Amino acid sequence: MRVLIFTFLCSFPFFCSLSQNNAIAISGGIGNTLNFETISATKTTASTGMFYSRLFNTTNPNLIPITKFRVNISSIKQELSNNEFNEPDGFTTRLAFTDVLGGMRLKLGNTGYTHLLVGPSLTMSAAEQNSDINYLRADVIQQVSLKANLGFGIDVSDSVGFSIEETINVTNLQKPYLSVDRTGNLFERDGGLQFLTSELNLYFKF
Amino acid sequence: MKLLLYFLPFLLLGTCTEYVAEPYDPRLPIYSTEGRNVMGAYVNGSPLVQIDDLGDNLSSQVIEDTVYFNFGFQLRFKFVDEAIANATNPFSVLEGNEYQFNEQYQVSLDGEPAIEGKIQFVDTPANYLSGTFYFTTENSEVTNGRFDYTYFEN
Repeated sequence: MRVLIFTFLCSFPFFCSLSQNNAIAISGGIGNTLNFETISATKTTASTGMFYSRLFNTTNPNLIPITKFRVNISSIKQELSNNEFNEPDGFTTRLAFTDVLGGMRLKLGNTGYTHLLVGPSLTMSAAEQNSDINYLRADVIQQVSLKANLGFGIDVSDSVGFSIEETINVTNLQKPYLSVDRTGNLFERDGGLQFLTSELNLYFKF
Repeated sequence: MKLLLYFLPFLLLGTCTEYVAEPYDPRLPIYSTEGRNVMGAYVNGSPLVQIDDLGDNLSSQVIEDTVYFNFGFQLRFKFVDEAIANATNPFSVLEGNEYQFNEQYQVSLDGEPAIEGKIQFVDTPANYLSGTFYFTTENSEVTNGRFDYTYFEN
């Protein structure tokens, strides 16, 4: 039996952005994550420490290249759920180093004052998972995320404005594998490490 | 008395003992059927893992119609079956079968016998004995059990 579990992740990232044209831009964001879990264990995740950087620009005013470097420190708490797949209490810490987040944001309807941001992006990450203070494995998670972005912004001028962007991430962290449930039955665990993430980012430029 | 004795320390030279963690909870080994010489389970929610890296943590013994498995000092299995005495390879009798723990098929944790539970052996192509188990004793509950090791015939 597969049970869909929603996990609410509330993150409070800190952004510091650099823009070549506009000298300094500050971005702020708050994100939440829905974790679609096929095993009936409830997880809560918190992440901190996001670093956002706009490293390059483009001559096309309708394209906004965005590169993001992120260090995501998450803690996952496994909680008891039901009798069938009853996992023990425990904490798992995941250190995720997002190496590359790249993508183009196409500015639609760019009137000079408002625009829409649309564009996919791809994230490749290496991560380690730690469920015991002395236990680290580097090969546990290697994730690939496909992101769809949709945003809206207002440009007061060429150098002043803001954008708000919603990002939907589909992240595959782990291939399905056989595991053992509480009562010794084999089952295929394929959802424990797959995430559907929603992020809401707010960008300022001045 | 006909005596067949298989005293088998696992992890001899050339056997696989690599510990591969379960991705969901790396405190336990991943379920495998490759003769990794490892077992793991939760005992009252805490992980219990035996890795046979020195050849003395996992052992088995065959005496007449009975097979004994020892997973460290804590977990001890005992299977009594007439087919074991008559089989060329006593371990092959178990493969592919599921047994409910009772007087004939027993397990104990720290000397406490199981009240209820089961063990399942999967069919493996080589001299591997792999499977899963679950049982309860008067004071303990052993869940999510998995084992995978290589046996040798005498």
